[in-house]
Amino acid sequence: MVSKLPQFADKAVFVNVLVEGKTPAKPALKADLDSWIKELSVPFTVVTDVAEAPFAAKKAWGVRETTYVLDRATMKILVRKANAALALKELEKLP
Amino acid sequence: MKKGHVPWLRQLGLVATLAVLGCGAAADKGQASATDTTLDTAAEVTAQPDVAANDAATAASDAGQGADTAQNSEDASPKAPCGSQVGDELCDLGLQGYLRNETTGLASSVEFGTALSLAEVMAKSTPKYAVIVLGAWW
Repeated sequence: MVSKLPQFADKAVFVNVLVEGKTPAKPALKADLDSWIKELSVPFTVVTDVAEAPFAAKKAWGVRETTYVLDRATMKILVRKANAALALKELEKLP
Repeated sequence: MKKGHVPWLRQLGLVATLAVLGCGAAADKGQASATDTTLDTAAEVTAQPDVAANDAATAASDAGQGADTAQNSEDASPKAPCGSQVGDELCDLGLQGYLRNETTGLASSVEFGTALSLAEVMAKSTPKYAVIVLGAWW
């Protein structure tokens, strides 16, 4: 997805949400975010659940690779796809 | 109208006054935070012996209450429930991590925030759309 960023930088803000840690049973920690950012060279927002609510994002938003395109101002869901590639195809079609 | 009706009307005015005082007592108990104007009005009514003046004060109070109630109902109107399907407003969540809207460099170059939210991330951005990708290492 990082490689697609220049293409969409003016159109959309990108947010990575780590919904799990090193295993599906472990919540993501700051160290996981740091590794993710470093190894994938992610320049944009990367977040995870707060410590008090592990797996809250997974419960509320879905499993790994689920990708949303939102109207940023209203947070209304315009697209929901099983992965980023499919969602970005839909983003291309949006005005 | 018979003359005998006038005292009855005055009694009605007194009843209305007592009703206003009763509302003030309810507000004292914290039943309606927006009834501060009622409390003020009740105090004014108590200080004025003239029933006609009391009626006018009561009417003014009622009008004020009506405006407050309309405002409150607008504030309290339920928002559409959030969800995770197309057409829903994505539910907001508390998050921690790196909030950064750049296209180069590393996200971890900014301070790690422990009290972020998706709404905050959205508010600090400007593009028309947002792409939210759920990920995991494994």
